[in-house]
Amino acid sequence: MKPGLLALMQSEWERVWARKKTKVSMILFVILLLLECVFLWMMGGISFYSAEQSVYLNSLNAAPFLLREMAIFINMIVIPMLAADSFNGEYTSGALRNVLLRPLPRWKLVTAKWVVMAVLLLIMTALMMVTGIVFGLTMLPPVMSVSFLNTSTLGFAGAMGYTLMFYGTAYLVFLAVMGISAILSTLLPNAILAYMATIGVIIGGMYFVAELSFLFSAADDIFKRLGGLHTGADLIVISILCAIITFIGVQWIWNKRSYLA
Amino acid sequence: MRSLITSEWERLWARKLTWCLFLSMPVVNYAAGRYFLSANAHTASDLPQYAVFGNYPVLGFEEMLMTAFNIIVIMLTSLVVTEEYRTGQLRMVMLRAYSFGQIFLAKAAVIGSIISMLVAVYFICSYAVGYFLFPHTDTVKLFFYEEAVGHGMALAYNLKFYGLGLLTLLAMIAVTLWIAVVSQTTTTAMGLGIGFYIFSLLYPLISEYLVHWLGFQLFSRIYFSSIPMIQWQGLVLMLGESPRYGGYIFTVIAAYTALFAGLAYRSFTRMDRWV
Repeated sequence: MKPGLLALMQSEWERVWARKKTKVSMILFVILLLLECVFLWMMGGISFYSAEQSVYLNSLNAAPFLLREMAIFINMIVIPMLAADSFNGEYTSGALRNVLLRPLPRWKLVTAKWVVMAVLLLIMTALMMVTGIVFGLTMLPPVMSVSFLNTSTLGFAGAMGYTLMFYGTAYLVFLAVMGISAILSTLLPNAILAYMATIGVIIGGMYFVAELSFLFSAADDIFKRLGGLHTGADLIVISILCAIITFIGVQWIWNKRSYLA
Repeated sequence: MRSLITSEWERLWARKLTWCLFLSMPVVNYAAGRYFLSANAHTASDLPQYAVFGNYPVLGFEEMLMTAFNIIVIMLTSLVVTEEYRTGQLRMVMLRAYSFGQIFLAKAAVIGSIISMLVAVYFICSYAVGYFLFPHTDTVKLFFYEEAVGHGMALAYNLKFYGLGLLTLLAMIAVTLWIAVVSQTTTTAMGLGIGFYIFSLLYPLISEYLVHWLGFQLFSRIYFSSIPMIQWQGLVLMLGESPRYGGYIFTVIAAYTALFAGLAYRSFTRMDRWV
């Protein structure tokens, strides 16, 4: 009986978690998340929409602000590291051949890798959102209504809806970065170059292509987008396109490649 | 030992990446030049941040020292140490009648030499880019100098800045060597290296918010204990008309270099997983 996609995903999931650095990254992620809450609380509950515009945090608006620093950790460390291991490391070390012994079509293998990473990022995004909401409701000044950058006044339901939209957009950004990292990991001959190229695209995007600045300054740009203050292309559209194009690109390259070399 | 260093040198130059790094220096320099050209439009011409032929070498290097050069150091040390271990190439070197310590010193020497050469190439490129892109003035305004200075003094200042910048990169090499030695995989080495770099950028900025608790003296010591912050702001303070923090920054750089190079040497020579 040919292994289904679900079994492949389970196998990929186990392989990802078998690596010590995955466990260490996740533990570090949780610690940093808690430290971020402590830091925001110590700063008298002040954060920023941008370098020039500060905002007081309260029970309803705190959650999105966790993303400001956490996005740097996720985009510059977690995603390049895990994507390089998954899409490059197994291939260059030869470990992938053991997986390829099974009678499976290549597209299922790539899809399994993609979905496992996407699920991991979803768990991290959800954890950030829930931690932020709980932190706001328990530790910060209670309010009945709040407004975000260039939004109308929102009650509890509206604020939670905004938070959900904010983190939904952040998840799309993470998928775009993951896609970029995956295709670079597929194309480049070793994990170091793959990692560096991902960092290069994130930072280069900020300097050379204004529309790609959200890869680095995710939180600031998402606030602007949700407030309708963005100029130029929509980062939601760019992220979705990026994720789709890189997925198709990785599938195509993996299908063309000969793994017996 | 000389043939060991030659072998390390040849192996590094056999990589296309090494050549790409050198070829990218003019490109990176030009990109920095274009950035300062647009920044000049919003800057008064009597400020030291206003780029002219005489001071562009420092302005351009200051931008790239803290960012691109640190990342290049992380990448090179991961390649020379961790990647050779993972690919099994390190075993081939260890077959020879050299001690682990000698191999480590050869690698450190080669990485240091390549970084020094990259800095020298960047210095030359910055004068070329500055000559073609920026205005030629009779005098040059420097950071923390009351009066503008002549070109001779500006050249001496630029050389001192590049020399000190190279020292900070050698400290960074020591830290990344230790990270590369203790890391089992190349992605771990890269992740830890970038993580250390980001941590070194963030903790001084966090300490800025706590200055009223820490007091200014402790805050400035914490601030200039970070290699990127030394590169960004510490060097110009050291080279000002009334130099500040010179002794402390030299101590910090020496401490990073001695501590992490020592730890890296100890770890490399004691581990038996290499073979």
